Amino acid sequence: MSSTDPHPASPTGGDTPSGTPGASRTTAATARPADPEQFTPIRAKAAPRPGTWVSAVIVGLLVLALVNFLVTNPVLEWGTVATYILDVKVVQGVGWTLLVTVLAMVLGTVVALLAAVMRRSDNPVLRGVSWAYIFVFRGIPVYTQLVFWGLFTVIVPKLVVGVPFGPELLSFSTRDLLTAFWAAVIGLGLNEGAYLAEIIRSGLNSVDRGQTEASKALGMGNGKILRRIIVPQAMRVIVPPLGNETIGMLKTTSLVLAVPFTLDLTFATNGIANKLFTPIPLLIVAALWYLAITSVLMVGQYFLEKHFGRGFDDRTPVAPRRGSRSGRQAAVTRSGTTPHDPLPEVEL
Amino acid sequence: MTSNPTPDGTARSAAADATHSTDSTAPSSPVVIEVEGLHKTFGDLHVLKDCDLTVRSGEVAVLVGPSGSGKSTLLRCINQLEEATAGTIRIEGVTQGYAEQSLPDGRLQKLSAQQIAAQRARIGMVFQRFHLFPHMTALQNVMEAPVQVLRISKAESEARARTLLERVGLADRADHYPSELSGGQQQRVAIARALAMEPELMLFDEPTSALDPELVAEVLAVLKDLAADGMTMVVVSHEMGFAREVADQVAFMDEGRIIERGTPEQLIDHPRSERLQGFLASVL
Repeated sequence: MSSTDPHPASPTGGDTPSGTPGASRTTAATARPADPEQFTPIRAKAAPRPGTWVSAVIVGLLVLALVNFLVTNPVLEWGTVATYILDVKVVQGVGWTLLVTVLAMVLGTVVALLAAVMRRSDNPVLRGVSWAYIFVFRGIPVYTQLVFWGLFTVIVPKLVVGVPFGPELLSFSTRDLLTAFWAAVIGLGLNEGAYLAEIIRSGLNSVDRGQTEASKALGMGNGKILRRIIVPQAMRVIVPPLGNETIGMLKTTSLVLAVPFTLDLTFATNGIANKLFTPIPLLIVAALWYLAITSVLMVGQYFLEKHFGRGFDDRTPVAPRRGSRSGRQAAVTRSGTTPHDPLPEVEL
Repeated sequence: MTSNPTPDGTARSAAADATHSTDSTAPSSPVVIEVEGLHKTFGDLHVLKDCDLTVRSGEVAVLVGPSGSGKSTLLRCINQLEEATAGTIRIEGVTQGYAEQSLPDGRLQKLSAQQIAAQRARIGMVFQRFHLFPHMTALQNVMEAPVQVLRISKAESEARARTLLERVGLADRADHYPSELSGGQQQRVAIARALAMEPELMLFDEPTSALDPELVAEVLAVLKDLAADGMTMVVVSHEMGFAREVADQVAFMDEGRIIERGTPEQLIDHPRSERLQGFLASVL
């Protein structure tokens, strides 16, 4: 930030000791150049911040203690961790866990978008359906729901298309369609959708009413306004909590043994641990993998936020030109000397 | 507009001449906007009271009045962003919001959302706070409605959008997002966006009120250019200089009523009502 900055020195440039403040001030005042474009930047030593050093020492000692504990504690069995971290079953478990996470989130997002739009609709029937869906799927524990989906083929042995109380036209055996994998995806996805519906609804509500009015005035219909104008803007608000929910979903997949779906990461590491009677190293294996996947998801979230933040983020103007209004604002923001924060957001 | 120059160009000059005689309107050109006995209530609040307004093709009507007098509501009723409580609005003879034929029991038949959208598509509107789509560049903002509503090809819409941006003096800003443009530039993009639908008439709701004083002129210049081109316009504005220079008729509103109507000369230089005199004293 400050390395390329030609403007008034930031406090970090304190490596050059100045004379007495009074003396330098007077010389600066007397030797004022005629050209207003020229100036001598303020040279100053940074104000002392002892808190940084004190905290660094304390945290450093704690980290050393932690490393000592991790290296010397025999119960952790790092050898076993190293053997099993790339075990075929574990790696396959990672793959299945990722697949279930992604599919459940896609299903959840689609259902949630429908539910959120229905909830905002003028049609009282659709509003009621949306309310009932959220009520049921948010109110029942996800574990219970997963057990239900596992037993779905028992509760509903076949699906029939036909006239109610009348003749059957088509019928499917659910056992052929609904494998444990899909039961897990549907169970997690529908539960997630009920939570996401509220997140998406608040995202849709966050878009300025003027946007709808301007679109209406252009003759756009409600569907087009939603799809082209409202949803893309709402995504900017929706994506951060959506990323949060995805990471939550990643960990919730460890419950799919309730279905029972038995190929996910937690089930794989538990299985090995039970065979070897060494639960601790395999918990570490699972924890490391979950952390690794979370890191990958965070990268994905970053790119999604960047995509949907286009047009809103004045820190990266398309072509800042010298002297232009946007170019000037960009320079002010880049210098970082002004607490310019129109939309306070937590940055990763 | 280049698309509908047929009667407007000639009618416009006739209208301009007529303003200096006696009547505010040119009797020769066809009526575009006809508002009759319009009332609007929000609950107990009676915002518009028995408003009449006639705007002929190529005319510029400027609505003036203190804030809260109902100017913006009248404009929004014309575009059906607000539903009138009583009265009728006709655009080029077509009743807005309701079917022409009333039902056997005497009630009116409301139009469907699609039919209302089709009526709105022929009316351009520019807002005080621009309301550009922030996730789209200036060019995309102008292209959006023609592609989505008129189903014009993207290539054709882009060509038209570039021409319009050039017309409002922003050809070099086509790829900028609204957040990278000044208020005056944003408002000019908003005008181009409305023009892209090739509307029959344009409504401006205080188009310069949200702008820095130094940026007002660039937007007014675009409005003058449009007026000179024969666009039928209704402008809610506090810019008396603009009204005097460009308007064919000025209507003064107060407390929901249109109190005075006439040429800019009649209203601004020879106000009859005490209220208008007071208003002008505070604005000029």
